[in-house]
Amino acid sequence: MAEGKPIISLRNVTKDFETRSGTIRALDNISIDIVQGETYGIIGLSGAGKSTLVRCINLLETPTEGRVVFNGESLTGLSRKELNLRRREIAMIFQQFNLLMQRTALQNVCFPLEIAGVKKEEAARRGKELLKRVGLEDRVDSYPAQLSGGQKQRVGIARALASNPKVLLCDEATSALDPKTTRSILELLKDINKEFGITIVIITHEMSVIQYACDRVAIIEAGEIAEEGSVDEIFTRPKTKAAKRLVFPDQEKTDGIVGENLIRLVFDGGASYEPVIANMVIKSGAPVNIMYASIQNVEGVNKGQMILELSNIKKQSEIQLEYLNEQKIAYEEIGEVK
Amino acid sequence: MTELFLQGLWDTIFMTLAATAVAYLVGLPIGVALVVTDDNSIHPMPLIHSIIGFVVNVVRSVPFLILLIAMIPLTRIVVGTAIGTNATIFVLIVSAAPFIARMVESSIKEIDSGVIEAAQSMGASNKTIIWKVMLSEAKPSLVVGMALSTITILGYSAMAGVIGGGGLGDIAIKYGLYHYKAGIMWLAVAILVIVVQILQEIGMRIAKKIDNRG
Ligand SMILES: Nc1ncnc2c1ncn2[C@@H]1O[C@H](COP(=O)(O)OP(=O)(O)OP(=O)(O)O)[C@@H](O)[C@H]1O
Ligand SMILES: [Mg+2]
Repeated sequence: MAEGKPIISLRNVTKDFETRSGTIRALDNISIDIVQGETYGIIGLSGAGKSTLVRCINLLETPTEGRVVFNGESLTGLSRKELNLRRREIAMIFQQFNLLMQRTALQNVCFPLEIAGVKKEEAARRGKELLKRVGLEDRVDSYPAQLSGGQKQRVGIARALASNPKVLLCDEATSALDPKTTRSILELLKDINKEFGITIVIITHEMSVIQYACDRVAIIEAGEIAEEGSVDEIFTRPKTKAAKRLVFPDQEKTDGIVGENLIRLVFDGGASYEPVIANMVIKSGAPVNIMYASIQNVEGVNKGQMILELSNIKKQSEIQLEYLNEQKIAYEEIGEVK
Repeated sequence: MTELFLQGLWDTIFMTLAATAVAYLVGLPIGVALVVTDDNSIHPMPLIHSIIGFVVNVVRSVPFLILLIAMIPLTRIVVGTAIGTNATIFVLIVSAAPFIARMVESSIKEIDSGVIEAAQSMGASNKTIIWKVMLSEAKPSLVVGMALSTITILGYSAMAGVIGGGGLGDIAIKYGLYHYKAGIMWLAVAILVIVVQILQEIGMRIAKKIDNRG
């Protein structure tokens, strides 16, 4: 269970969409608590309801049922005006950045300040400061069309920070970016979390993003929370089917591999660069057999999975698994381990 | 002769610009209303949206020439006379405002809905979204639309020659049609073509200049 004061609580939130072909239940009775100061991940496959969930937090989407509580106050009953005031404390960044194309980087960052009625000179000063913080001090007068995806997202982050929010919602904020840029943006988000104490909510379909940036995670499937817990816990010991599917993707390719002492390892880019297999062998003094491997090195990050046959001597296989636990490498036993 | 053409040119330009200006004062808010009252927009009002849309479509579907004649009694009440430049301006406004409303609507609809959503997530009021997101972001497209509207209104103003509306169209019809002076008619047409070219060029240049997207 999470400790500390919740900054956002969803209570029995249900969201139905009325469409011509009937009612779609996008969220089904969701209750979660997001604790002040943490980075909270929400992961799920496409169509699981992630965007709907995050849009319910700042009421861009009105829940059909249930309550959204922010900082001890229910948002669901507020008037439009009051809601707009609260929204200044809940900033958001987007997959497609959503910058104003006719405004410069600085003018974009100043936009929330204009909304808040901050004086022009004061806003410009703060805007420049924020752009400097995200590493764009030399692009202050550039238009979005002149910036790369990563730079646009940095402007998006600076803009989000302008109103001094308590929470930053990120809806697939790195999904349009390459792995290296994704890293640098996640790095920036982590720094912001530490530096300003802003609670960060990260929506993604990529486990590596969660593992890299989040303290806790909720797995959402078909509009319901399938599993929730610390990232380490879920990553190394996924309990539900939904969690396993995310931690161990493309299972069907390896369905034919059966036997005893088999484990499946997943490299999602979160693990260290240590030569994992060699160290398992050295530490245990026993060999392992690679039954299947599909690993790609994308810009210095290892991604993919492997099936290993461990030593059939219990003591040795225990040392081998112990090592994986230490390295926080996700694995599941797919053959009985003796 | 030169005087005749200068007067005609002046009348045409005056009618066009005056009618365009007033038609925008009417059409722009209607266009914005069409956008914001739509489903999934910032202030959905299905009934109001349908009513405005219907009225706009009805007026738009009446050919200008018929409107010109059908409106004679109303024009007489409002302007005091049914012929001449002022009468023409009045009919031009009525006929162009719905056209402009649709142009404005489609310009604003080109904006990515994500940008509007971002503004909402910042706590922007609808007024702020209309001024600082919709109209600001659509500015280049609105300018192109304005050039197009001006040219359309210019064309209509020439048609008003049949009711003695004044301007180059009036000259072309009077001399070409009623007095068989083809030379004068073609000269009037040539001047109209040049004016259209100039308007088009000015519109495109301004739009390009203020667009920061590329
Ligand atoms: N405005 C809407 N009208 C009707 N159905 C909707 C609407 N928005 C979302 N849905 C439906 O709700 C479900 C959840 O959608 P949502 O966008 O939240 O998924 P997601 O997890 O964000 O997916 P992705 O990873 O593809 O972005 C889907 O079945 C979707 O079709
Ligand atoms: Mg989504």
